[in-house]
Amino acid sequence: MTAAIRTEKLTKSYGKSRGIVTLDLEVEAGEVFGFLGPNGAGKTTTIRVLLDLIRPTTGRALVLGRDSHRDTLAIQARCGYLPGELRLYPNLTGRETLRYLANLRGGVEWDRVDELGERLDCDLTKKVADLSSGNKRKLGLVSAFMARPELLILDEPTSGLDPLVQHEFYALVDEARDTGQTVFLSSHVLPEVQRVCDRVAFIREGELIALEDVSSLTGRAVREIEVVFAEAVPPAAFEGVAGVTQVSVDGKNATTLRLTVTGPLDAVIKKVGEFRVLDLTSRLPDLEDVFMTFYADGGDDAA
Amino acid sequence: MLRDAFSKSLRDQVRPLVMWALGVAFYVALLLSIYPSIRHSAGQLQGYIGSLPSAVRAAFLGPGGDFSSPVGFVNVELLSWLAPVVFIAFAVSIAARALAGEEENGTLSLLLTHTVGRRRLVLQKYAAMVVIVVALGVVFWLALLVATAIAGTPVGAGALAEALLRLTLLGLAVGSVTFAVGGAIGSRQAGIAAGAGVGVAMYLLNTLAQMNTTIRPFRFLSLFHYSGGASPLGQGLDVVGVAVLLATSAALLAATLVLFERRDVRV
Repeated sequence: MTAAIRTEKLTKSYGKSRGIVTLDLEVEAGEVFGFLGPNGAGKTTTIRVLLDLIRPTTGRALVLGRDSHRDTLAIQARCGYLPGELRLYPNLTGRETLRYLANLRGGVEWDRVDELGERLDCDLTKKVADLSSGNKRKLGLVSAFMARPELLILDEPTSGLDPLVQHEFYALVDEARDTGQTVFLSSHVLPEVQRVCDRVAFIREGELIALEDVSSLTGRAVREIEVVFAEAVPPAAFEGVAGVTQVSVDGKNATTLRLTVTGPLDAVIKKVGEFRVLDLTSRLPDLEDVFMTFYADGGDDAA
Repeated sequence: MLRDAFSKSLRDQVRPLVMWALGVAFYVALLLSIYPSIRHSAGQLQGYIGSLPSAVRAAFLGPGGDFSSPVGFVNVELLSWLAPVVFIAFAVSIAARALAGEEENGTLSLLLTHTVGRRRLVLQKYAAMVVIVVALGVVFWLALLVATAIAGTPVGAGALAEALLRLTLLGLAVGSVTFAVGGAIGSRQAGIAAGAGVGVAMYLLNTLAQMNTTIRPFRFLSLFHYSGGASPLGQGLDVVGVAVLLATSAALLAATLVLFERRDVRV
């Protein structure tokens, strides 16, 4: 199957440093793909190249199998886009805004617009000038989803949304996946990517530093485990246990054990079980930890 | 009115058009209401005008330099400098908002990603500008027609139409400079500066060329030369002039298409 998005040595230089550097990326049709990185990493730049708003310095991008620059209109007819910094016409109401965008695009069923507006709790009667940034963002989401495009390109989709609307947005993404649409979303909110994405790419200073399945990331995560025992335990007993990278003991009478564990916990838990355990806490692995490890070691870990 | 970028642009320009049209109508009415009193003192005025150097007279009053006839009066008081300023200022203000305005507002990305296409957007924005500036031309023409009739000094609908066609085309040509620069750079201010700069430079060139024989050969470089200079009214339809003005606008539109297609859109 043709990849939904494919970039080939894509480079965009702005003066000295910013932009993106020989980015090779492939997003499969039908997946929900997270594009993760801190602000200024080049996420928006990449997205704007995909949509032909800016032109690559070198390299090229294929969107839905077509060249992003040569076949822009054909691509855009099959894409929905939410800009990172959404700007609308302040003197139009929400409904007028969506009416205009739907007319420009063509092929939009108005029932779908109403449905989306209701689900995201949009006020379509107010002028855009009177809307909060979160409410404007909802209009942007409606316009991205309204034509049921094959590919959704969403730049920081949930920034400024309240939790309830975020939840509805995740539901929309899940539905998009179920109906075979591809979703490419950028984010610096890690739990969000973990929640909705199948795969995730980390980008830093314009370079792709890792590309992973969200599930395998969680499996490889680094955890900190703290165990309180009824009596003192010899730290040496835990050194060399599969997955354990760091051991330390402290607390009153050396009864508190701290372990840093990578990967499955099975061996560690069995070893811990040999002693009398009073308490055990494990910091849940979140993407942030993984993310930080990648950043800390400059991506040597990258698959 | 939200069918496409063309109709949306028209909708956005209705309010400025109405304001400018009211201004034009008011000024025309005011001028023509004082015409009868001027005509009474025409002898004195004409004497004073006759004492001016002939070059100055030609530059500011047109070849005839006749202040007392309706045609001369309309030329001197309205069409020699005020009408060009109105058309140029109006066209420049609309042209600046066209592409550069959408870009500065941040709505250009939105337009372009809703399958509008850059070429189509340029053409629709330009078409909207043409319609609006022509509409002001029509208002100006009607105002003059009505006012001269009421003042009992009819100038002739055809002659007025010829003069206003040329002035409208002059406004569009200078507006096209703003449209092109604004579209190519993405800055309203740069577009306005370019349009105003070109307008003033060409006005000076044309005016000085009538007084100075060294400059005179370069008169052909000024768009005012083709719009009728100081006396657009009563010259008949200058086909070459109209053609030059149209060709200038067309060339600038073509340049905009090329330059706007190439560049990166700002966030």
